[in-house]
This record gives sequence, C-alpha cells and structure tokens, in this order.
Amino acid sequence: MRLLAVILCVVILSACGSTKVQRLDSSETVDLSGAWNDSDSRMTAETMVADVLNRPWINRHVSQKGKPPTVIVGSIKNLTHEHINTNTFVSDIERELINSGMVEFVASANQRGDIREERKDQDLNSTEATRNAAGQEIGADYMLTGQINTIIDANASTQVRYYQVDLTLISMADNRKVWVGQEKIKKLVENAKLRY
Amino acid sequence: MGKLSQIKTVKLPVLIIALLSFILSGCAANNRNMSDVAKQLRHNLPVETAVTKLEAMKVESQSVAQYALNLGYLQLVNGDYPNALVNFEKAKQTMASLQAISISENLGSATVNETFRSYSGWPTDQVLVHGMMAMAYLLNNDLNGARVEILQADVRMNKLAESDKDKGQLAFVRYLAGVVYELNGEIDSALISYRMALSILESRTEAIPPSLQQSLIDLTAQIGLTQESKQYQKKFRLTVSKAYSNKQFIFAFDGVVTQMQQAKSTLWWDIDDVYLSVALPKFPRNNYVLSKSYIEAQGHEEVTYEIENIESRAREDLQARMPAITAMALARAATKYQTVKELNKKDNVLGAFANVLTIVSEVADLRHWGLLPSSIQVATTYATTGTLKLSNSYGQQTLGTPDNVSDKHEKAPAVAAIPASSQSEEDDIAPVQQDSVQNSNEQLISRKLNTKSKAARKRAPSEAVLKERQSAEKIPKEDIAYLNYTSNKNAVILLSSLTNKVHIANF
Repeated sequence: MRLLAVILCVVILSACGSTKVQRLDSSETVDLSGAWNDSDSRMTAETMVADVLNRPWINRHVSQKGKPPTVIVGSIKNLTHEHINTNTFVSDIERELINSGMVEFVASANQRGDIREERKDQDLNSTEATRNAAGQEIGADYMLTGQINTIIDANASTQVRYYQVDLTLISMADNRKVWVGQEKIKKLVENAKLRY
Repeated sequence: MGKLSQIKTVKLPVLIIALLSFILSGCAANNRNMSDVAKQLRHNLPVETAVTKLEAMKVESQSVAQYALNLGYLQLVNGDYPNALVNFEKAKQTMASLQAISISENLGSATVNETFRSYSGWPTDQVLVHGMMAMAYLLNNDLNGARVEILQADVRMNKLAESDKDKGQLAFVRYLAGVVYELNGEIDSALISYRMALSILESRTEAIPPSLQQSLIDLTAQIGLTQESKQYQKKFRLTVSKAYSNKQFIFAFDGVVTQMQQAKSTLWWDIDDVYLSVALPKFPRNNYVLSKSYIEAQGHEEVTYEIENIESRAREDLQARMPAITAMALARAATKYQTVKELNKKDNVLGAFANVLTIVSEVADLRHWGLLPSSIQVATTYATTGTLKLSNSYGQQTLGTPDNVSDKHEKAPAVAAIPASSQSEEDDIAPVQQDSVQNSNEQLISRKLNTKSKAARKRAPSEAVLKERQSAEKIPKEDIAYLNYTSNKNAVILLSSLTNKVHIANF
C-alpha cells in the first residue's frame, strides 16, 4: 500500500512540470524522432551544392556562353514515408548556389505569377522612371529537378531509415542532363521499450 | 496515541483508492460521452452537431488519441479535411509515443482499473488512421500527402504482422494504396498493393469486391503479365476492361461501429467477508446490416461491395486482447481482495468502505475508435462523360434491439432533381442542383428524412427475420446526387451514410 501511495504521488506530481524553452544554434543538430529534420536538409544541401559547383558543366557553360548559367528550380518530389516540406530544402540549395556567385537563379513557376501581377500593377500605378517593363525576363539555361526517397526497415522497436536525395540538372536547350547528384543518409532509430 | 496511529495507517490506503477512483472517473466519462455521440449518430444526429459536441468535450490526457481519432473521422466525413488531418496527425503521434510499455500505467491498471492506461490504439486504429489520413489528403487534392500515408501504413502493417500475420492487416488500406499508386501513375506498385488486398481477403475467406478483381485483371494486362491476367480473368469470370480514359474510385463508409459494453461480475466471498468484482469489456451482438450504394453511369449500374468489415475487425482486436485484459482483471481483483482483507482485520467499517471503493473503481476499459463506419465499401466506374448517378439502398443500416435501435430512417427521394442534360458543361463534375454546390469538391444534396416512431422501433422483429426479409425483398434506392461528368480526369468519390455530402476530388 505504501508503494501505491508513492505511485500516486509521482503520478500527481508528474503533471506539475512547467514548459521549458531553450534557444539553440540553428546549425546545431538535434535528433528527436529520427525523421527528416532541419539538419538533414541543411547538410544535404551543402554537400550537393559543393558537388554541383565542382563539376565541369559550369566552366563549359561559361566558356560557351560567356556568362554564368541561369538555373530554375523545378519540382523536388517527396517520395518518402514522411511529410517533408521540400521548400526548405530547395531554399537551402538556392541560397548556397546564389551566394557562391557562380550561378544565377530565376524565379520558379509559382513565384513568377505574383511577380507578373506586380509588374502589371506597376504598369498602371508606378511612375515611368520606376516602372519595370514586361518581356524582359531572363530565360533559364538549366532546370533543377529531383526527388527524395526512403527505404524503411523496422521491427518492434528499431528502425533503419535510409534517405536518398537525387537531384538532376537538365539543359533547357536540348534536355541534356549536365549533372546528377546523389546524397544518402542512413539512420538507426531505437525506440524505448519502457516509459515511465 | 496507539489508536490514533492505527487510524492513520488504515485511512491512507482507503484515501488512495478513493482519490484514484475520483481521478479515473474522468476517463470513463469521456468514453461515455463519445459512445453517446456514436449512438446518436445512428439515430441520425447531424454530423455538424456531433462535431460540435465532441469539440465541447474536456478530454482526459489518457484518452487524447481516442478523442482525436473520433473527431478527425467526423471532420473527414463532414468535408473539413484540414482539421481532420490535424486531429489524425495528433492521434497518430500520440499512439506512436505510447508504444513503449508504461510502468506507472501498468501498475495503475493492476491495482485500480484498465482506464489508467493511455489509449494507444488497437491494431486496426493504428493502421486505419493512415488510411483515413490518405483519404483526407486525396479529397484535399494532395496526392503526394496521401502517398506518404500509405507508405507509413505499409511500415505499420509490416510491423504488426511480425507477431501475428493477420494482426492489423486491412484490405481497405491495401486497396487504397493501390488507388493512390494508380492515380500517381505507379502501376507496378499499384498492382502489388492490389495483390496484397486480395491476399488479405482470401486469407479471411471473404468476398473479393469486383472493383479489386477488375483492377487486378487490368493492371496485370497493362504491365504485360498476360498469364497472371488470364488467371485472374478465369478466376473472377471477368475480362479486361475496354479502353478507358478515366476511372472513378468510389468509397462508401456505411453505419457506425457497435459500441462496447461492460460485463461486470460481483460476488460475495463468504470466507473473508469481501465482495470481489471483475469488469471486462465486450461487444454486444452485431446487428449491423450492410447497406449498399449504387452508381449509375452511361446506363450501367455499379454497386459498392464491402472490402472491410470494421465490426469484425474491432471484435477480432478485442478478442486478441482479452487474455491479457482478463489476466490483469484477475490480478487486480486479487490485489483489491488482499487490501480489503487486511483492512477488515484492522477495522471492519473501514474495510467495508474500502470494499465499496474497490467495487466502484472496477470499471472496464471501453475505449475504442467508436465512430468508425461499420463497413467500408468500394466500387469503380469508367465513365468518360455523361451523368454519374449516386444512390443508396433504402432501409435500415442497423436492425436492432430496442436499446440499439435502428437508426436509418425512411427517406424520401432526393428533391428537385433536374435532368443531367440541362447542366452546364463548364464544371468537371457538377451536381444537378446548382444551389446545393458548396465548393468544387463537395456537393450537398438536400433530402427529406422521416423518422420512425418509437412504437415502430419497439415492434422491430428479430435480427434473423429482418436479415432474411431484407435479402428477400427488393430494396428500394434513394438518390443521393447526380453528377455531370464532362472531364477526362480520374476521380476519388467518398460517400458516407452519416452525411448527405458527396466528396469528390479530381486527378
């Protein structure tokens, strides 16, 4: 019965904990569930960008056209077991490539709609000096597409989660694949068998 | 001084039991409220009202998953897909976090009652939550989201099958996976899922819905597995479909699953002057009678066929848990008996009081996903253009005993149906009644409902007689909606007996 009293006290007191918030560095890796997280997105983007910038397609393009290549982001398909927001991953890649100064990016299909609407609005409402004319958009030389896949092997409390990110850069002029990048992540997730 | 310490010693256990009984009464009340809503839904309570009732409930932390599952399902059939997804996700996460064995909850259930445990979902719940989420994503036009859910369902089903090959294996979810893959153009994966659905149904020796039969024949032929396609054709006595440009996948959720009841036995143990009490959950007699939906397209009528009998799955889940539940109930009875016996030795009055508390605190855990449909049915049509007429079989979905009374009412035909030819061809799928359009995915067709009198319900004949009569009689049909189908798109259509909304998503 004393044991029961102790259990009861613990049960009641366990509900009394307050919410705690701790600020973390955005580059710090914190794995909680084993699912795809911000660290996976960031690290994959960094690795793949480093790869894409060190391949011969950029130099070949610059020597042929005399200007840096212009890239547009197409669809990055999520074919994984998780609801992954691929936008953060795409943003990471865009940021790294633009900041490298070796590649130019143009707005994606979704973003273009808003910009064109704004340009139409400028036509009506902006001064002549500040107005941006239509028909001056830069056409992309390459489109970046890709997909994220997973294979999950699980038993009662252990999981192996394997992620494979495949990105392809395709020439808009002739559909040539000028770069294919691949990044793999493998995680072993062991769930607790007991809880309080 | 000695007397005072004795009183203190004997009071503590009694107080603990009293306090635990008080704390845990909340869980039982939660379940009672949800069960009441389920029973009212069987009596034609509008889904909107049921959602409001559920949202107003204060939920105990032990029942969060059960509550979220129930609320999410109602929101799904009510067409509130975003909120349904939020609640299903919450239920899914909660159930996943509760898979580890809890020391405190086990101690609580061994000493007080089973409701001390957090509701971690039955095998059917753990798989079906993915199926329902996939359905919500599909109807929300998010094919990728639906694909993620069916992949998760696959992992979950494989995990459950490790301990028992039939545990948590749902033909509906496998079939839905096939549909998602087919819509996504992944024919080979779709075929694998359809084969798995077939395998589940065959292992249960249940009927194979014609839509599954046809998909197996068509997909094997498309992939070039001619021999396998011929085997299916021979087996199902069907041929490969004529060339079609679009396919409509129809799902029908029918009825509300039977609610569990408590079976409590209390006996007087003369030797030690103690009452012993054991409470166990049980399902009452299954009074569900299948009610089908009909789809008429281009002069050809298709009927929905059952692919998942949730009534059976729920009973199987309970059956599988009963040995553990019974063992725990007996262990608990022994613990309580010992406690009361010791108290009796010290003070008869306190012993008697403690005995009453042990009886009161002995309640069965009746929590389950109680708002699920009794049956999930499927059909497919291949209408390229024209009118798609959806109708439901007339009559009762649940035939029953006076306290579990029938619940579907006699219904008048849909009002003011206009010929399909008068419809604008601008809409991909448009209901004939323009006023009833809520949005592109959802058509509301009003209908009259006439309720049966209480006296008529009490006069309800026995289940066997009614079932026999239903099968013998030609059951009239009630029109639900006419849809002008002018697009070349595939579609997923969901019908639910709980609401008069038809949910549609084009792909």
